[in-house]
Amino acid sequence: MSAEVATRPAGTGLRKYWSAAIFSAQDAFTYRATAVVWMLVDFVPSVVMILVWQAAYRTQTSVEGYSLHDMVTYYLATGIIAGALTSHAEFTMNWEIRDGRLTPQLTRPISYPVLVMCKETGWLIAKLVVGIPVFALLVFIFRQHVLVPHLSPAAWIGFGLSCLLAYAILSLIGVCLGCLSLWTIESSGIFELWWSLGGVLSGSLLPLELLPGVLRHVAFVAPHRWGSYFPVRVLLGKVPVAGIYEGVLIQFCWVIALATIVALLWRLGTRKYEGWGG
Amino acid sequence: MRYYARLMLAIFHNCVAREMQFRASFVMSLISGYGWSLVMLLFLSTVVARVQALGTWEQRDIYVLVGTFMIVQGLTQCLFETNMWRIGSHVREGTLDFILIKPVDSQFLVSARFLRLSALGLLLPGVGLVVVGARAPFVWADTLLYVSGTAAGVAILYAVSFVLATTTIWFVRAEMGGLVYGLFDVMRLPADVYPKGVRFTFTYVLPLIFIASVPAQTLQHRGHVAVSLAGVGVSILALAFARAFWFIALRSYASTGS
Repeated sequence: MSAEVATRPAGTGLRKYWSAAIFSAQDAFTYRATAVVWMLVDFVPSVVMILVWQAAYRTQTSVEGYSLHDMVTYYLATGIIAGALTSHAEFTMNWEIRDGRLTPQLTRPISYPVLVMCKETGWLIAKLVVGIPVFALLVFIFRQHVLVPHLSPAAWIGFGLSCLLAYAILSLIGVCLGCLSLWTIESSGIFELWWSLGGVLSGSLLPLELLPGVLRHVAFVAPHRWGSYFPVRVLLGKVPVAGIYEGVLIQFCWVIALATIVALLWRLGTRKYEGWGG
Repeated sequence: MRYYARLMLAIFHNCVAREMQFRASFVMSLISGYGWSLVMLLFLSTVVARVQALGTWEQRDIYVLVGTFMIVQGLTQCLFETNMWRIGSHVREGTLDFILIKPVDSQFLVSARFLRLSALGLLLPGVGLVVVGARAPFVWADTLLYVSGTAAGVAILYAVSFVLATTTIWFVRAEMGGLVYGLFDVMRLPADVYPKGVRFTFTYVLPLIFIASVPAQTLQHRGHVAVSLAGVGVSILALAFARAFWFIALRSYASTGS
C-alpha cells in the first residue's frame, strides 16, 4: 500500500476532489432550472428590501448616512455575492447522515468534509453563472439608483481575495453545522435557526450600522460579517485599501479557526456516528 | 367524509410518532420556525422606527401584518409543506404510481400525507403579535372578516405552493416549489410598498396580497368589505385552479422511476 502511494503521480490526491467539483458542476448545469430557481430565491429578499426602502425614502432623503442609491446598490451587491458564496453543505451532510449514506463514504480514501465542500463548489459555480443574467436584469431595472464601484487595482485584488476567503468561511460554517447531525441525526431545525440569525448578523437584512444596539455589537464580533458583508463593503468602496488587507488577514484567521473546529467535530462525531438507515 | 376524517386521524398519529423519534430536532424546528418571521419583523420595525410610517402602515400595523403571516405560514407549513417537497421525489422516483393506485383522492394524499407539527409553534407568537398590534375598538364584523380572510390566505398559499410543486411533473429535477420561499418575503410586506405594476400583479395575477396584507388591513379597520370578501372568492378560485392543474399535469406523468 505504501509503495502504491509513493509511486502515485503528484496531485492525484487533489484530483479526486477536483473531479468531484467538476461532476457536481456538470450535474448542476444539466439540471440548470434548479439553479435558476434557487438563484431567484436568493435574490427575492434583496428586491423586497429595496422595495421597502424605496417606500421609506418617499418621506426623506437619507437614513443614517445612507441614501437610496447606497441602499439599492448595497442590496443588489449583497444578493449576488451572498448567493454566489453561500453553500449549504450542512443540508447535504444531514441528508447523507440521516439516511445512512455516509457509511460507505467513511470506508473510502477521501476526506468527507472536503469532498462535500468540493461538491458544493461545483453547484455554486452553476448558480453564479445562471445568477449573472438575473443580476444584470435587476441592475437594469434599478439602474437609476445603482452606483458603479470605482476601485483601485489593489482594492480589486483585495476584493477577489475577500470573496475567496468569505467562501471558505461560509463553507466551513456549513460543514461545522453538518457535523452536528452526527450527534442529532436530524438537524434541519438547527440549520434554519442558524441561517435566520445569520441573515441578521451577516448584513443581508440591514447594513450592520442600522441594527439596534445589542445586535450591532453581536454582529461585529460574530464570524458572519466576514462572510458576504465584508466583500460587499469592499466592492462599494466603503473600506480603505489598508483596511481591506487587514480584513483579509482577519478572514484568514477565521478560516484557520473554523477548519480546526471542523477537524475536531468530525473526529469526535464519527466516533459517535451509528450509521442509521442505508 | 368519515373515511377521510379517519384517514387524517391515522396520519396525525403516525406523524406524532415520527416527530417524536427526533425530539431534539422537533424542539429546534419549533424555535427556528420563528426565525425568518422575526427577522422580517426586525427589518420592518427598524425601517418604520426611522421613517415613522411605510405608506399608511405604522408600527402596530406591521405587528398585525407579520403576526397574520405567521399564523398563515404556521397552518400551511403544518398541513402541507413537507408534502409539497415530496411531490418532486415522488415524480423522480416513480413512487407517484403507488399514490395514484390507492383508493383515495390523489390530490388529498400528495397534499396531506405528512404533517409538520413543529410549524404549529408559529401560531402562538403570531396571535400574540396580532393582539398587541390590533387597533381599538374591537369590531365583530372586522374580526369575522379577518378570520375568514386568514383562512382564505391559507387556501391561497396552499394553492400557489401546490401548483408550483406540481410543475415537477414536467420539469422533473427543477424544484419550482422552492420559489414559494422567495415569495414568503413578498407576502410579509405591506401592500403599499409595491409600485403600481407590481401591486397589480400581486392582486390580479398572483394574488399574494390577499394572504396577509388584506386581512391585516381589515383588522385595523382600514379595509373595504368588498376587498375582504374578494379574498375569499379568490381563494375558492385558486383551489379550483390547483385541482384542475393537478389533473392536467397527471396526464403528462410518465412514471419515470421505479
